[in-house]
Amino acid sequence: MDFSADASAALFERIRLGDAAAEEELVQSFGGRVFAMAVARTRDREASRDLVQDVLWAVVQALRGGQLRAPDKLAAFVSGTARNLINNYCRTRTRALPDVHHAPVSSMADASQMVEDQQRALRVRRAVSELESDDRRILMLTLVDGLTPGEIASRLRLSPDVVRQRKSRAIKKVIAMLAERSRP
Amino acid sequence: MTEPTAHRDPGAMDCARVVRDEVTEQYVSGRLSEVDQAAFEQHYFQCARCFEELRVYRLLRTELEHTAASERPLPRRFRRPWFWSLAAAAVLVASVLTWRQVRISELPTPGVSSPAQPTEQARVVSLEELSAVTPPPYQAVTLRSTPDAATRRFREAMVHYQRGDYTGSAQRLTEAAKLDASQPHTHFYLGASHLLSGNADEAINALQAAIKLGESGYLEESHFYLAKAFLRKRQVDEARAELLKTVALKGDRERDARTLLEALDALRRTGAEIR
Repeated sequence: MDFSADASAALFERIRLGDAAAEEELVQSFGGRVFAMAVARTRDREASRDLVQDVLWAVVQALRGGQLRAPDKLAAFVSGTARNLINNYCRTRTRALPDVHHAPVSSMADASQMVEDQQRALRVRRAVSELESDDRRILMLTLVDGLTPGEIASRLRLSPDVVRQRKSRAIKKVIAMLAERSRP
Repeated sequence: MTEPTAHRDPGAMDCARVVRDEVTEQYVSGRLSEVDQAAFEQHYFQCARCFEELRVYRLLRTELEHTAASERPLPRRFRRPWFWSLAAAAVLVASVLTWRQVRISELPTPGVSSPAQPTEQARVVSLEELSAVTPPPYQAVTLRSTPDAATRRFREAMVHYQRGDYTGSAQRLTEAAKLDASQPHTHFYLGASHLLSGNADEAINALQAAIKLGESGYLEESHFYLAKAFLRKRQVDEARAELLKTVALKGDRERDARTLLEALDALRRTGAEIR
């Protein structure tokens, strides 16, 4: 879901008025994004799960209290709140909100989203196993080892352009396989 | 012609720049500057297309990390023959020293009579120990929408489960499964509850039902716990088959399954009475 100014303002207003379904929409829309940011910055999936709860709890509290100055910029508000709490965690390695039961929203994880992610992970696994070994190696060196095409090229004795082409082809193949397998 | 905003402002991000500069790939592999990282994060919080691409890249990276761990050859220094000779010698020396330590500790202390001690030997884990089960964790999810009858029953059951009342959870999960047989999590936790309350046959039925529902977040766990259920009934061949399926799924249980398979092989080598 893309967040236009109107959609943001409308969602904010619904939450401010106590609409439970609107809070769930917020969780569904941003839970995954907050988790992605937390994992990228902390490299710790377990801590990231807790941080998602903290961030969304803080956001919901702020919205319930009508504390969003620019209702049309909801996404920016959530990402900014997330960045602050995650960076604070990274600096101090403690959560801003320790183990408090955030009742009535005690766990902000969306169960159906988690199951869907697990199913997609299985499909990615199958797709990766079907790649040619050289293509898989190029992806590994890129995404896991963080090497540039030039560095990979010199390691594999290929040209950087060939590395780029094969990498791009491999990623497109994985995406195509994912799309194919997700069709009912 | 005016330059696009993204070129003038190094922190600005739009879909065109994400594609052109391979931003998603750099983000996932940790190569973005702090400025660009913040800009990309702000972008994907608003952009469904870029967030979807990020999800795929993240799944891909996770899978490649697992593959790298199993596929990568040993570092060069470990591949040389002299290294292994040195390593073998080190193991031999350590064994001799340990043996001597054991022998010294076995010597009677002057003035103190001690009962005869059995010789220390490697202990092979029994089938009963291999079939021991720890409760698979469950995290309650509180959603504000109105749950249907099956979900309500499931949640009631899991309250009992979290208290350790597996008989109670099994009873309620059976009812939940009758209300809605299409939920893998219901069958999985029903299987776990039966196993934890000592009902291996019912556990097998429930876990097989979860597996029959196909790919789900519970598929790997179901195969693993099904193996445990078969071990409980001393059906080792069936257990092995389920452990091999668990390994093939290359998930979080792969290592546990491999460890169990090795233990079963060790048990077989002792000539113990197992099928």
